[in-house]
Amino acid sequence: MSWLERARRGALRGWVDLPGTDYDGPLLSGAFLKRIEHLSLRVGRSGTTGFAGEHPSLRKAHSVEFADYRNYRPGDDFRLIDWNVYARLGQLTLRLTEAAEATTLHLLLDCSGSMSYGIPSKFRTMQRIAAALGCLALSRYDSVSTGILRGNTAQVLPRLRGKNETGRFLSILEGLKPSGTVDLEASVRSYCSAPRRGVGVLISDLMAPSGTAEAVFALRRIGLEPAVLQVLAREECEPRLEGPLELVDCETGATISTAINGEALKAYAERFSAWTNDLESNCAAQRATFVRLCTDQPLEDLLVASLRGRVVQ
Amino acid sequence: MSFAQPLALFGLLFVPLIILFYLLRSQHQRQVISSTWLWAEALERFSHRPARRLPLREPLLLLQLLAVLVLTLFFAGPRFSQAAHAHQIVVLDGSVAMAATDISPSRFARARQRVEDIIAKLGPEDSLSIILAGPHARVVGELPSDMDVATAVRRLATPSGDADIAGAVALARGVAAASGVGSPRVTFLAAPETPPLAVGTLPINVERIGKTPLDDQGIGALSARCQSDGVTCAAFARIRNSAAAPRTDDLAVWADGQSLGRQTLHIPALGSLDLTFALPKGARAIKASLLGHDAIASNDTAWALVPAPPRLHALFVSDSPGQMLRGLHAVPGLTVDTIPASKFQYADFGHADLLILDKVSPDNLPPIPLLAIDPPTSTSFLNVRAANVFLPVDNIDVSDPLAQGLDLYGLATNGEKIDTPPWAHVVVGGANGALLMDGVQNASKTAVLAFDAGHNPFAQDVAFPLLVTRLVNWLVPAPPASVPAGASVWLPAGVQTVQDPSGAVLAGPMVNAARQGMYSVKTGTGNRLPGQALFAVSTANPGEVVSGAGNIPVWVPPVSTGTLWRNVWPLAVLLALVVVSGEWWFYAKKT
Repeated sequence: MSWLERARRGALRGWVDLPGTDYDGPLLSGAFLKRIEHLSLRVGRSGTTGFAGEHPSLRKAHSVEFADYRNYRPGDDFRLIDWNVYARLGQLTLRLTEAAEATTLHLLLDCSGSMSYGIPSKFRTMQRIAAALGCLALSRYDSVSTGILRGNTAQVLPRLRGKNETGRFLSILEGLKPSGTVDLEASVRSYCSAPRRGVGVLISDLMAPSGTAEAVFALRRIGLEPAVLQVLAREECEPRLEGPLELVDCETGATISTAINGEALKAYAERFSAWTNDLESNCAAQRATFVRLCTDQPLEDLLVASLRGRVVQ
Repeated sequence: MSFAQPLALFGLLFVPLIILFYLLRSQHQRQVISSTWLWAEALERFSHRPARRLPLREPLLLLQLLAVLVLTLFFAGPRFSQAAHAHQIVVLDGSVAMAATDISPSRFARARQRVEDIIAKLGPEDSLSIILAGPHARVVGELPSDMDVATAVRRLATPSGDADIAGAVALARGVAAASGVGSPRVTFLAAPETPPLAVGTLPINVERIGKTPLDDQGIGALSARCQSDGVTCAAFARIRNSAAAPRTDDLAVWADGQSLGRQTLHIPALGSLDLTFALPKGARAIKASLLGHDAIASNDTAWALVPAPPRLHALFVSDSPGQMLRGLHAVPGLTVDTIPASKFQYADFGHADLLILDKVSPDNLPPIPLLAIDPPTSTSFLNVRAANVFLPVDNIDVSDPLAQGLDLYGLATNGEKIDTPPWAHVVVGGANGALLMDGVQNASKTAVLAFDAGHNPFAQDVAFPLLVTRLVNWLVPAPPASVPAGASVWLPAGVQTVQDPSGAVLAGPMVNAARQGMYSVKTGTGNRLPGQALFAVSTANPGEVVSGAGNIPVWVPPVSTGTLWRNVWPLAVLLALVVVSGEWWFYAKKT
């Protein structure tokens, strides 16, 4: 990549040196990371890993965050006795503080061929969202574990932790290419074969008749807090096809010869709406976060407007 | 509105072609999507398939259609000022096939009726020319110059001869170029069996009249031949069937009016049957007739003459005949009377078919074929410059029938130096003039030998009697035994009038053999006796055209810039459309 190209992509302005890409722009710019650095992952109390971090935990530990009072029991640490309370009430009372722990962000990325569809492509949008979430996690001393879903298996990449790993993480993301097919249920089960803790974020177009609910269940079963980010192209949400066409599946090569008119588009819109509603209700039933994203939305809108309060905070 | 080149309007055929291309292309347009399962489920309940619609939103399609329209109109040359002028040229098939009665009342009557319809539909500014493609193509009439064209068409006799297609083409093109008013349109009213009419760039509308195949059986050929003894003769007949199924018919044959018998024939479908039968001794006129009924009655009967050895009489005026007389005696059927020059009088040629003058030149020449040998300086029809001059042989016209295959270089000898007259054609000549020439002077065939043929070394040559025989045959040819209907026939020497089969008397020297049957001598001299059968006329076969018609010169319009452009416009249109189509193809492949 030339110096001019790097400057055009904004890599020189930021604090991270971004690797080159054949796609239509850098994954993240330094200015963008500055704008989102106040955000952090939204993690439930059961999603922490026990290591010191910034997320509140169910466990109590030495910290400055007040949690509760309780009576002294033999064996308690004298240092936790609140001597001011003893002076006023004459009772030994312990001052409790809650632990701040780190979490692990498990990014499960759908790298099937169907993700290459759309302008910009769903795959590129998935890469940018994953990069943003991963950078947020690394900047908050959280760990990032990435699973590449392809076929019926998941390729688990090394866990990364700390800001120093940001460049490596982005390089890994840039190296990914969409190809082949994916069995969502089987590949997620493959990723969940080992016990894991933290937040599990599945990013995919979910373009399959089934498997999403089973994948979410698998994430929930091993103790992860699941979140499903469905990435779709605008052409999939609101297709602008017309006339006699031979529709070709970019993943399998299967074809459908049909003639598209207003009635066909209406039928598609109805089916599309029913499908996304099913996905949403299935996720809600398993207390999983479900967010549908469109590739033509700006990345800042995706993170701030769509994910804030659900995946980030 | 009229068009200068109406054929250019065929360019509009590219409009549906281009639209078809686009329809086919839109039908096969591939659209890659991320997954088909959602579409498949959505379309399960949706069975309606809309009809193919023209992709009118394609700007390239609109541009191409516009280009085709503009190009077509440009080359068609619309005329708004001379909107109503049209020149109708109706070519009427005059062949025997039009005499068929497979449609009522007959093909020719239907064609005449069609011509009357065309006349009735003519506009006030339109003009019309009617050409009959008979044995000799001719213009029957023209409007508005001839007011009674309809009557002339009604009077046309039912044809029985060939069709002079090439002559009709030449006439049509000539009439089209000569009128200069309105756009010429040719309508060819023809039998299905008649070959098509190629009139170049003129727009032509061919209307076939009649059913095909024609259910007709006819005598395609009838001839007679004798063996060398001149006594044993046989006749040959070819019976033709143009129907799609075999036919059975009876054939009756007569010789000199006496019946030779009748025979039942089984003629194959779309084929012919050949017959040979012996003729009685001395038979002269043969007549054969099919007794069944079919679509064309005129070709059911045919006539033929038994060839008889020619009986010619020559008057040889010479003081010293020498070897020339021996050469004349070698000519078959020729009898020679020799008289000295001093005794020759004008009335002596009497019944002679040929006059041979050796070193003699009378003041008055009889109107019969003449062979002049070694003419004196006082000859009236020749300019003899000098006598006893060596005449070398430098050139021989080997294409001339007199010289073909003969070695005539031995003719070089002393003789008369003669200026070549305008009527003569030099067969053998040299630097000092012609040795042998022929031609027609004063309505008589004339051949000139510029040397003393009877006392020349060439008289000993083997080619000499052959040359004499050819000279006699050229000067007095044997009359044709059979001619096609409608042909013009030169009567042989000694025959002034002939009688046609209907009994009408036709005066020579040329008669039109319009009626089929036997023509006989009415008034004649010498051995041409009244009542003697002269030639037979038979009907042509359907679909036949005049043989050798291709040699008729065809009128060629003068080449001008406009004509040149009109000739290259189809190429220009083709080139433009190929470019547009190629561009479209490239565009379609890229998208």
